[in-house]
Amino acid sequence: MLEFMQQLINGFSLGSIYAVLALGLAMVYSTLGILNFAYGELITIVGYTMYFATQAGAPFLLAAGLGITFAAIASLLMQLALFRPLRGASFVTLLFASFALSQALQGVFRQAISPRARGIAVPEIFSTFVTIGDIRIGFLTIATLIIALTSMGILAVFMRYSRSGLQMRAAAIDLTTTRLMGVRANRVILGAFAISGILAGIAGVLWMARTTQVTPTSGFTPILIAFIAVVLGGLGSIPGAVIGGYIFGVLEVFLQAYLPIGLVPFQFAMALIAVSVLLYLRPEGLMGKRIEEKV
Amino acid sequence: MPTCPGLPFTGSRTVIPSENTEKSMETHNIEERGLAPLLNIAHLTIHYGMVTALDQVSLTVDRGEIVVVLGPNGAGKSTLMGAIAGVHKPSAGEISLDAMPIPYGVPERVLRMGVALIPEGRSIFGALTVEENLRLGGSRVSRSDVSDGIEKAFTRFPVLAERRNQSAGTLSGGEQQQLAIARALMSSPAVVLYDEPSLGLAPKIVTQIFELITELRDEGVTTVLVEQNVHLALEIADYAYVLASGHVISHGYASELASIDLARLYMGNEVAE
Amino acid sequence: MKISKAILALVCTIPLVLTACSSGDSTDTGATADGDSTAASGDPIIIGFAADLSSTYAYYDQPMLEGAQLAVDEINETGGVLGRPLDLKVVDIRNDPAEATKAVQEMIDEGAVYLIGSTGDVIAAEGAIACEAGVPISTGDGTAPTLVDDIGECAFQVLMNDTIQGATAAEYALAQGYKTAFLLGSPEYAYTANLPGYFSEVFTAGGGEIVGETSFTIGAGDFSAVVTKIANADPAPDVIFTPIFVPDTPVFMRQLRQAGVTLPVISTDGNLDPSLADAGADAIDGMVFTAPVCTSDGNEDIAAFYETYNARNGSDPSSAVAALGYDEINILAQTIETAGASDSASIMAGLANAQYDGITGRTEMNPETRRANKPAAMILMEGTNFTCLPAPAFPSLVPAP
Repeated sequence: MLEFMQQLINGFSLGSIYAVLALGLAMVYSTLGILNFAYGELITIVGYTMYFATQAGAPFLLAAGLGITFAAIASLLMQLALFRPLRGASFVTLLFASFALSQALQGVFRQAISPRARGIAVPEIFSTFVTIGDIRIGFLTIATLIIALTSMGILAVFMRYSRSGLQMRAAAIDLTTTRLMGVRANRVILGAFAISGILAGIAGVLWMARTTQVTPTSGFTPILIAFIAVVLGGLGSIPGAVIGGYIFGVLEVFLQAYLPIGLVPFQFAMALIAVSVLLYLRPEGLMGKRIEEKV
Repeated sequence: MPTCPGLPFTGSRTVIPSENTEKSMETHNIEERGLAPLLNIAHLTIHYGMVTALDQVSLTVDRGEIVVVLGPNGAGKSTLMGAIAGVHKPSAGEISLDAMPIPYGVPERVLRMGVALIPEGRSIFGALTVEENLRLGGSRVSRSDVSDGIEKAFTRFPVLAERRNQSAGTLSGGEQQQLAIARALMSSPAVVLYDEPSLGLAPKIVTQIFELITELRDEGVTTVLVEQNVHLALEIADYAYVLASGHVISHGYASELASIDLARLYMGNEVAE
Repeated sequence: MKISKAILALVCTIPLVLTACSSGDSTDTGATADGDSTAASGDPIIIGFAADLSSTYAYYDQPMLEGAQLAVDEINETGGVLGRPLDLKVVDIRNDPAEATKAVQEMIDEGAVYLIGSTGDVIAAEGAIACEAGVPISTGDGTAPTLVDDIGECAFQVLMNDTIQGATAAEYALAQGYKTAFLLGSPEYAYTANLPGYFSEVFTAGGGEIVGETSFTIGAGDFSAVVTKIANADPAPDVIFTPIFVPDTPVFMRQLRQAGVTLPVISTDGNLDPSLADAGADAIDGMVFTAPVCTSDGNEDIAAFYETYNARNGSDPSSAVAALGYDEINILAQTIETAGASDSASIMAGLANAQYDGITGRTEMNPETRRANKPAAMILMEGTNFTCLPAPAFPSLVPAP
């Protein structure tokens, strides 16, 4: 029971990183209908920014702040340099364009930095833990939960009460009608990419604090998981992405913890099978609208 | 070239069948309907791929009048409205407001020029609250003007005030139409384009909506109305155009068009096509 | 089905015939070269290395290449082997079996007489081509003892293997007085799947007890589930043994310490890389691991190797694994000189009995197993410094692979 509780906390902690990740991917998808596969590279950018910043002697929090800033800038540049010129192109064209960008960036990291992992120095406090009753929880596990929940809370308030947030929510429902209200499409889209970049930045910092290293392909696992969470939650649904992220995080930890040893290598495959079954039962995802309604 | 069998109009003047050249129609407009119309559409042609949705359509709207566009389904009425609002791309021709050309592809700029479209089916954001829908309508005005606008809307539409925090999707059809109109008014437009405002509404509600449209016209809002309900539309309109298969097949003062059997006009046209 | 089988059989025999011809040719060439040994230069002796230089196993293949290249350069500057220069052909196969197959085939077609295998699983693909052509292939930095038998007669392992390091780790644990151990492996690779078994065999034979076992996912990025299991192991073990390797080790160690687990950790040679220190001193201080070589104990040969490398390249090699690459080329060169011939068949015959004192210690090849009886080194992390523990003796009990 004790171990179960601890694993549950592990699952929620990991899940909250996945939720923030998925949220960032969903922001752009819901506004523009673009699945940005180069989103994973934003995580890598956070990692390298933090690596170089800490190497240069910057304290961890400053490095984290720089990482988030650079991720946001990179996200905006992706929109301006890639997606805006391709406006009106088909879903598949945009998907492949983002794939190409993802591969190109990985090549640049490999050539310009190194194919090998670069370690990111993290503060000593990350190695401490707190004890609640009989449960021992790592400082980072709790910090991850709190930071992720706070970030998502701030985003929810922004989306709910600010003028830009309202415009983004409307654009996610129907961009053309939103433009008929006088809302500038370019501004809303840039806003969505900025938020997507900031969320990737926050998730990236949490991920890097956990893995303490960055490689040119660091973004692969995060984008894959964000994609799964977004589909699981229902493509286009913002709350769905968050729920999808938490479910996948808990699923991953529990499969790792409770599968027989010989089956652990199939943990990821099993998680995907579980997702497939869920999607078979609910093709529109957990929070997605029924396909018929959407059309 | 469509034909208009039998010229069914009995009116003594102004009704010009489409066999007349565009040039003579313009001449007529200038002579009969003022020198500087607020909204001027000249030779507008729009294609959807290989399909011609609008073919050389010319139309003028004077300041402060209600112009109704009539026609059967698929005549190109909604396309026309979308083009005025800057959503559809013209292949040829131009649209101008107060002699300023209306750009295409940037509906947000057209709204700022003073043209608000209430699309067919109202396009209410059902997942957002009533108040949020109104706030969206005021996206291009200052925050204080948004508050004033919302107060005005609630005075004019008390039912919206009661439901301000309710999601708009829960409103009845008539209430949604009121919200759509209130939302369009948030930007204080010079021209409001109504696309089928009576669609799916009970007759009593339709009458209310049409009274409202008249009321707004009386307050100075220039109005373009696309409507299937011919008789009601002609009752409140000043001038009318009849569109079929992308052509203006007829136009004239509403009072004169009211006595014509338009159904036969549409049909005759369709047979000829 | 019958037809396709017949075609398959036919296709399979063609390379065999060709191989027979080509190896005959190269024997002739070797004889000529031998008779003409005073020549300053001749046809190069080609060595192939289909290496993973940009993916997971770049950690090991890159330094192997660095060391091997240095040895090749030195040999060529001092008259070559049998008077002929060595030519090291390198292709980055990015851990892709298809690319590895193609690269190895091309190397053999160009006349390669010896191949260094990649540390990754692609060595199986490389080995299949090599054995078919009758060209010897080393396991590179691959330490799994099963590799040699899996690949076939043409495979050689010239460094210490996992049975030796598993036994060395267990003998070290017993010597420390640890009575109970927790094993953390992964069924994904032979290396991570079998090492816990080798450790366990020697540890229990010496009176120790295994009190728990679990597995991790390679490259998971998150080990919280595994760490929680270890933290809750009942009874708590005295030591954790795991063949986890970089880049996973720093992540695992940090998360282990974050969960408040302060147990000692013994690991294996996959951690012989500077990136282990990325975990930070507080996470890896006190960790111990076995390795084919320890380079930080002031050994003169190693120091000279580092000095030469630095003088030529302006930096240290990527990791201590470079010393193994350096020794491997020198073992090959000695074998060719001794045999007086550079054809693949002569090299295979010579390698099986090779004995060589290199900078990483003495290599004695066992002709039966084609693996080296070579003791492992032990490295202790003091903060982020790799320090050498006293060189362990060759283990008294070495488990069967």
